[in-house]
Amino acid sequence: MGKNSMNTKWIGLLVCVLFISLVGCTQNGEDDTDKTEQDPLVIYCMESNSNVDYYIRSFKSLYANIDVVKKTFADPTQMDELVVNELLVGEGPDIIIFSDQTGLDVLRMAQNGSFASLDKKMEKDENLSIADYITSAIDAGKIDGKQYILPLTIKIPFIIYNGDDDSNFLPNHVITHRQFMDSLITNIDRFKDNENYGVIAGANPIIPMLISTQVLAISENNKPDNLNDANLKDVVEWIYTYYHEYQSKSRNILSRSGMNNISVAESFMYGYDFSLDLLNNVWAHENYYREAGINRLGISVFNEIGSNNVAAVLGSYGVITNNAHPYAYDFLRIAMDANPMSDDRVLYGLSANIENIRTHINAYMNKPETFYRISPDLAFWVEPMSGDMGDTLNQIFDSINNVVILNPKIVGIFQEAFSPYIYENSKPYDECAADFKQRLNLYLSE
Amino acid sequence: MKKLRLSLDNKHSLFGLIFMLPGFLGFVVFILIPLLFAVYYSAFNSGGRFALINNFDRLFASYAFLIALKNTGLYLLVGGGLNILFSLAMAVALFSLVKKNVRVASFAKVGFLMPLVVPTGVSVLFVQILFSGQGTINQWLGSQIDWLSTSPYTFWILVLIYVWKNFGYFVVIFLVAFAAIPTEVYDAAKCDGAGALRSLFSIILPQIVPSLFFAFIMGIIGVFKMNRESYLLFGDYPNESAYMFQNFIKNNLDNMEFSRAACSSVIFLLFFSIMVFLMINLSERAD
Repeated sequence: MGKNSMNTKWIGLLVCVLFISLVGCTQNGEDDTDKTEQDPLVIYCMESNSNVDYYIRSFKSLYANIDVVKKTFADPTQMDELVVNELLVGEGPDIIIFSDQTGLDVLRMAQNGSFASLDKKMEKDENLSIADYITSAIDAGKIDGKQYILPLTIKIPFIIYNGDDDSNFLPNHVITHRQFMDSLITNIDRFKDNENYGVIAGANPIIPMLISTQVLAISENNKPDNLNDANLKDVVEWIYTYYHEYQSKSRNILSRSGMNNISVAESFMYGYDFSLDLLNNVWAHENYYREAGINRLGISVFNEIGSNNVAAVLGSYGVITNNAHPYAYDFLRIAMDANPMSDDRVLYGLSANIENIRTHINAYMNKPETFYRISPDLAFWVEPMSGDMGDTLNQIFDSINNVVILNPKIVGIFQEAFSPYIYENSKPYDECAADFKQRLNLYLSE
Repeated sequence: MKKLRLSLDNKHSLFGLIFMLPGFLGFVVFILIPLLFAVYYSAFNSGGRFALINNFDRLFASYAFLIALKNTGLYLLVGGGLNILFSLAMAVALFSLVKKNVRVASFAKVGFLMPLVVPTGVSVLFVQILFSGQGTINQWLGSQIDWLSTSPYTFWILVLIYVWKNFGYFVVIFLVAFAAIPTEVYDAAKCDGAGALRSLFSIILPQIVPSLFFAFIMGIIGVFKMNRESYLLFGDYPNESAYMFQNFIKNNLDNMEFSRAACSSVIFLLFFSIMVFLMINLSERAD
């Protein structure tokens, strides 16, 4: 009996080893591709990304024989869950176009081998010249020195306001959040008594501030000591003051009711809302304010790092999965170089291609008179953007040199750690900061 | 051709195997095969190359993993230990009431099991009402401590939830064990002049050693099932004192870092196997 028991144990061990070896043999190497041109090119993207149809048309004009299948998602969580589940079993689309609303840590997933490295393809791409793009937008998609992500659109937090205002509300086109805050606090006392003035108050401004102050910029090596303590305190204190002092004095006024508004653009007050497009908003508001008798629209973007260094975040970006379609990279390249004025259509979002940005600005400067609707209750005729505004925008875009991918995990950690101080006032800043660093350290060291 | 006739014994064995088959298949498909996959992922990297030493080396170099290991071990000792102590004490008290036919003992037995059936979301909500910044505890104490995000309170809140949820289950286990001891043993102890405490430590506890070991094993399993409460209360990246094994594994799976999650699982498997092996051996010796 003892001998039989021993034999059974040895047989069981052998079966396990054979099984493990069998599983190992079924794993594919990094460079194997099972897909051919005859297979459809499958793309996952958000429903709200209206540019993807244009990308597909452009791709099909060059590769008519390749079938493209687009699967859209109304909610980023839906897409995130499906992507993770499919990648877990080695399936999934060829291309995923993420938005800044994703809850996935895309860079970390890329680092763990979930997405294909694009370096070899980029080396062989004779038409690719990195100098044509905002360099930091390309670098944002690198991890461990390898390129995994290609930028499709970028977003910048901005403010548009009454430029004729004699209070010189915001002095420059590139300002810090502190300058904006100080000016807002100074002017709000004036505003609250004047029906024609108001601000669109609302949701948290944390996200753009964290990006532009580089609190959230973690190095490629994911070292926590890159956390800038001084900037972190500045950001948190700004938000605290904004919430406790400014919010109590503001009124929720819709911009349509007061033509002399300082309209704090939603992409600042509401974070990086995908529906907001810098150029489109500036073009619309310039005309809107013109109708109100305001000659000059003011625009400012944020910088916390130093003069002429403007921070931005990738609004949408593309990755290629492992064993993807052989033309997946070509599709992403076409998307990256999407020409805003093709088909008389102005694309949504800022391109990372510098030339395309200029084309985009020119498109708005030459756009024919257009009936434009800001909200269900507010619509008007819009004329071409002014030359002055075009010059201003060109100056601003020349200053972009810090583009990052929004990391939802770190933003979540920040909000959880600092909510007791900012919103509930139940914990001092130092304890919250220590908690934030502790949690951030856990995340980075996982 | 001779018809194959099964003996009665063989028929019983066959029926037994047939009834066992669904459970066995479930075990193979949902436990054994994933386990073997986890062992595979712990030994190979994403490119299919053997990297056992490298994988475990990276794992033990991870600060997050070491914190998770430390916290989980502490949680097991403190939470599990307190749970067994309280439930044993309560079982002894209840058993003496049961022996005296006190009615409340029956209601208490049922009442202690109620926390087990309370949905996780409800118990989490209850904890938040008690321990949030403006919660009941702070109102009673007149304090403003954020219990849910301050170390080491987060750890003790998890211990509290664990003990509250599992306490009743272990009380029932020990009550059953006490009831299984023949009454002659109690009578003999009384005749020999043993007091209550002496009876408890010298006669009763040695008799229920198998149940103690069972409770210990179930306690380990219960610790790892606390992930839901921890996640709902503290999220993916809680305060350091509440960061457990389960957080580490889940976060790595979310980021598709399979080898690290698998290595952690293998370590837990080894730990659990050693514990069970030790318990079985000790239990056999106690018999």
